[in-house]
Amino acid sequence: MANKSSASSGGALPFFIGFIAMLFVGWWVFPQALFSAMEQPIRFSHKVHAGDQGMACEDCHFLNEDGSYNGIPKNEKCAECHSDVMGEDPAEKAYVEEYVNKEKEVPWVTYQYQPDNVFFSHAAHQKQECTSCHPDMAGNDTPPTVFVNKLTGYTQLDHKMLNDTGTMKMYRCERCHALNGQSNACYVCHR
Amino acid sequence: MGLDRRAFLTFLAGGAVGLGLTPIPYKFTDDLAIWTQNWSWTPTVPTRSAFFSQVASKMDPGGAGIRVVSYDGRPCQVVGNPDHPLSRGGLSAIAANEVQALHDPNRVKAPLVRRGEKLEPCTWSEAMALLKEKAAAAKDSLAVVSGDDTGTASEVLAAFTAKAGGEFFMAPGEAASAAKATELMGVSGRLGYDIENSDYVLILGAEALESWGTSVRNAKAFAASHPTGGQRTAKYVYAGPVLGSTATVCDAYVQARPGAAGVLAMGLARCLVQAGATAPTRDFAEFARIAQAEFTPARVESETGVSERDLRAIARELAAARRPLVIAGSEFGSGAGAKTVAAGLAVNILLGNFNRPGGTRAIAEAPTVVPGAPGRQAMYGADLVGYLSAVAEGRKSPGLLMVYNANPAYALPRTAAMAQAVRKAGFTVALSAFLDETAQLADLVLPAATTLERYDDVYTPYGAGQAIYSLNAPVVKNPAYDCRHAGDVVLALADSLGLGLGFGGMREVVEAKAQAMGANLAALKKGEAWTAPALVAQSGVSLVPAAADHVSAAKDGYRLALAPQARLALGSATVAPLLGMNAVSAAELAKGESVVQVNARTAAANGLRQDAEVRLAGPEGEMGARVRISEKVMTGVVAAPLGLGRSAFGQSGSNAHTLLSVADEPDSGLSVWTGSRVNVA
Amino acid sequence: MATAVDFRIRWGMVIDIDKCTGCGVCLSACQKENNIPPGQDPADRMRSLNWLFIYDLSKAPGGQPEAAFLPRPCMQCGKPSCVSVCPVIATDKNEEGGIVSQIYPRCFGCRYCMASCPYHARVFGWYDPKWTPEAKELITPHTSCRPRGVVEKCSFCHHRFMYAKDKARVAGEDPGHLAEDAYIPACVEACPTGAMHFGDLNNPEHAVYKLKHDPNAFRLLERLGTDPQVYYISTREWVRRLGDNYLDGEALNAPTHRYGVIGHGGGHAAAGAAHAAPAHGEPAHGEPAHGEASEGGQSGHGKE
Repeated sequence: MANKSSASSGGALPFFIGFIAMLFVGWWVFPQALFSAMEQPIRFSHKVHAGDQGMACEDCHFLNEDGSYNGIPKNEKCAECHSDVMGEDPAEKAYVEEYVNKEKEVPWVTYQYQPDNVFFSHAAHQKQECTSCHPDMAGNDTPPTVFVNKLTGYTQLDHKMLNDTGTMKMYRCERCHALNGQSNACYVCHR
Repeated sequence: MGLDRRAFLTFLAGGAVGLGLTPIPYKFTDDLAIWTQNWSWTPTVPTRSAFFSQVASKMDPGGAGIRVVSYDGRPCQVVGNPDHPLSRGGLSAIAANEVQALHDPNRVKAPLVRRGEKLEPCTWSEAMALLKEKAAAAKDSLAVVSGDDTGTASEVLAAFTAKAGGEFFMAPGEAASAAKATELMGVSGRLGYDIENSDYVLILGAEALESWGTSVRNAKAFAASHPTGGQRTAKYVYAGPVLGSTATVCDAYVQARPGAAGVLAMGLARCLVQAGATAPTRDFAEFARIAQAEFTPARVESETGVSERDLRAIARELAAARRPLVIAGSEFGSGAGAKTVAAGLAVNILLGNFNRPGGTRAIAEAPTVVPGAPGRQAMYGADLVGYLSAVAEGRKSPGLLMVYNANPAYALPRTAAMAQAVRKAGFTVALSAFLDETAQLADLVLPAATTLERYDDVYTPYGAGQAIYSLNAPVVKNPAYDCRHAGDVVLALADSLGLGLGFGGMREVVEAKAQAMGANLAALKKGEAWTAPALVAQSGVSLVPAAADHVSAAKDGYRLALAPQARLALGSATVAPLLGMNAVSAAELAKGESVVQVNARTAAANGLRQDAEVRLAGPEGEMGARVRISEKVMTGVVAAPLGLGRSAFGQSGSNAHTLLSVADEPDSGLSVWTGSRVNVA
Repeated sequence: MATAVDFRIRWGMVIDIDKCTGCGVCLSACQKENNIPPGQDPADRMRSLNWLFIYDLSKAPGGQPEAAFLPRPCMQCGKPSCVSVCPVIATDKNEEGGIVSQIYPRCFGCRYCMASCPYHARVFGWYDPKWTPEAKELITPHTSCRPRGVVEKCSFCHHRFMYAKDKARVAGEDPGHLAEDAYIPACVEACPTGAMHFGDLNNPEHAVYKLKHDPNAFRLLERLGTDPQVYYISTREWVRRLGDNYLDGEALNAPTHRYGVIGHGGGHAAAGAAHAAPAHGEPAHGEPAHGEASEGGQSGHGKE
């Protein structure tokens, strides 16, 4: 039998080139392509509101009497103070002119998007710390970029594909429920 | 190094191994699985925070109070209002569709004017200018029709008609019959029924728990007196040709021919008189004479199908009850004339329940606020079917025919003639939210606002047991529908003709009405109903009109009596909320055709088989249908569903209104059509 | 049969057949509450999506005619046969309250559960739903919108249960002990004649607990052993007889035939639907619209 040297099977080089190229594609190109980066329409600064102005989280993010959570506040809440331009920041000016005055709600991008078939209740989790699921926004001056998965519509705070920094996947809910003796029945979280 | 095939393959192999060490396989398949669950064309749902508005349904003839649930500022759903006296948290199949009607694909989005054969969109200013021109030219020959029995908008239209010169008509229905009955008998006030407090409710013909009067309230009263698993505190008895919705749950059911409610009531009156009942009216003796002479057992049995034995049994039960109540009306919401209601009222008077708890009531009329508006009985004075028939035959020619909240070309008997009249009138204006059959024939269609888009009110719907007033403020204004309240249109028209009625818009009108009644405007605007228990004392009531001249329907060679069935789930005269109509049954519509029902005996006698396609022919029109054999229908009767075959909406089935045959009722001048007959072949 | 799990709370209904007028508001309310797409042919039972179905019952001919209407939601069986056959566990009965869940993304539409359900309570999305722009305005937040190809069924408005629990939590009350009227499905809420009652079948303070012990209470096809959580009440024996496949002259609720005895009598052990023509759809098996042919011993006048 003839001796098949590595040279005659193409060599180790094409293999390594392919290998390295795929690693590059898989770890850099694919994440870039998979996610589209979106910014918030208005540069809302938590630092200004919760820090300098001394507002509490619950002033804008609260549970309603009927048990629903108001989420990101609507113009009605913001216009309690921002019915006119109060400061010098161009972001505030843009907000008042394009949204308050035109009576248009700001199309905020949700960081922790959940699809329709998920039912999440903030009321059931009110005893948890907000930061057990959400990043601590108190000192945040510029809202982070939202990375939206083009295939699924799920959101993330970075390009890293294996991270779970935006849309929470089911295993995280299940794990916490199991560790805390809460039911993992389907209907508890789905609708 | 040249790239030969092997090198290329090795390159791919390296890539494949590398792929396994990247997150791509895991991530991609996971994402793909999620992608297949979230197609972009599947709609997303709104956020959860609900906002409630309380209004009274204008589509529901019983004025049921409802709560409209809005999400993100968008009205989305209707639920019951537990605090409203006319609904107590319940709904009717039509009130539940108020939001569906708001978004109905058949809504008129902009004014339409007829140019040649077609209706083409135009602006409101063009439309109003045209309307003003036609109305000015038609002075003194206006004909205005309103189908709103409970709102002040009818007062506005009637006042305008009086000022501009012309004839005003309320669309026929049970409220019209009752208004005429009270007029004939000299009763002051609006006829009401205190069903909640009755311990024996005899229902002659009227579908009191389904579509008659304040149906949701009646159903709640029935529920309260029939606690599940407990002892009933009232007995409900139904007499009619079909074991329909109401009869199914009543404690006893008596078979009686269609349209026989009046004669049946007089038969009962005769039994009561013979047993010694009297009434404190001046003409009681004459009434008693007529009752005994003309409503003999033979006549009653032959016309109603109820035997003397059963009649006497019912009369005995009525007399023995502590708070008996008799409700008489049309089996399908219109066409009973005045005598039926009058006869029923006469029996109630004989039972001594007038203005007593659990009996019939005389409720005060609301004060009129629009100057020049006629009183209620005057508003209901004229007969629309007779008038439009005359227009169709050329005996009358209105310069301007204005139709609001009514659909003569679909929902009235002599349907073809009604359509003809709409076409023949000098200039027809349809104030309608939907492009229904009448609007399609009109010269000008002005999009009317639906319940949730307008200021309007509901005062004491027919059947209510006390005075009750609800005020509706608009819940939404959707710019996609450039509509206006018909009342606002007429007020503007009146102003432009120099016939100002003194109000700028319907909002002012209803607020004035509320103030005139002494109601709390703020509470009304929050959706709370205003009620008043006061009743109108009576003097000079006469019973003879209830007994005299009951006309029997002639057979004229038509073999079967027609029992039209009206269910609110199929819509009303003016609206069929097609987006929400999922409660049609196989007994009404099958394989795209209307279903008519006969029992086995009738079928055998007329050669009809199950599922056969047949044609029903009456003196005024005919329609096709499919046969269903059901023992729920009396022998010699064929039941046909009303509310299907709305050609304007492309709906399947046939319009059974075409089968109704019209007769004239003496004394009242009303047309009646509950005694229709057909041949089936 | 699936293994039965005992829950502390068992949400159930008691439907008073003697009070149902067949008006259809429950059907209407259900469609609107649960984002069931509009624009279907309501008379086509095989293809339309009605979670709640109203059967049109008639007494056998002879004597005074009598009729009844029987609204049939999902029975939320204690031993659901649908759960035991689902290949992917898209449906399960594992939540406190005993409502059988139906998770749309997990279902791939094999329809095994539909074959298994003796009550025909499950419906399938055969066609792409027609969400016209007008219809989209009517979408509520309560359930997700289903694509075609998945099975759906009545959920006792489970979202209202979730909302009631949240409301209790915000008010500082215990979500595990809700007041009787805190959670009511849309159909029960809308019914004008009070024919439908809802509550915790295990709670002696709830109306349904007392009503289920009423001598006139029965469940559909009880002898199949599904342990449904929907009870019916009727003072009329002919109606109660239609609740199961009884032999001629067999006593009601005969104790000898408990679980899974099939194939006796007329042959069809399948749904009681064989005896009752559906009101809003075509008659099952093409039979005429009255109850089983020989119901011996019917009294001529049904009610007292």
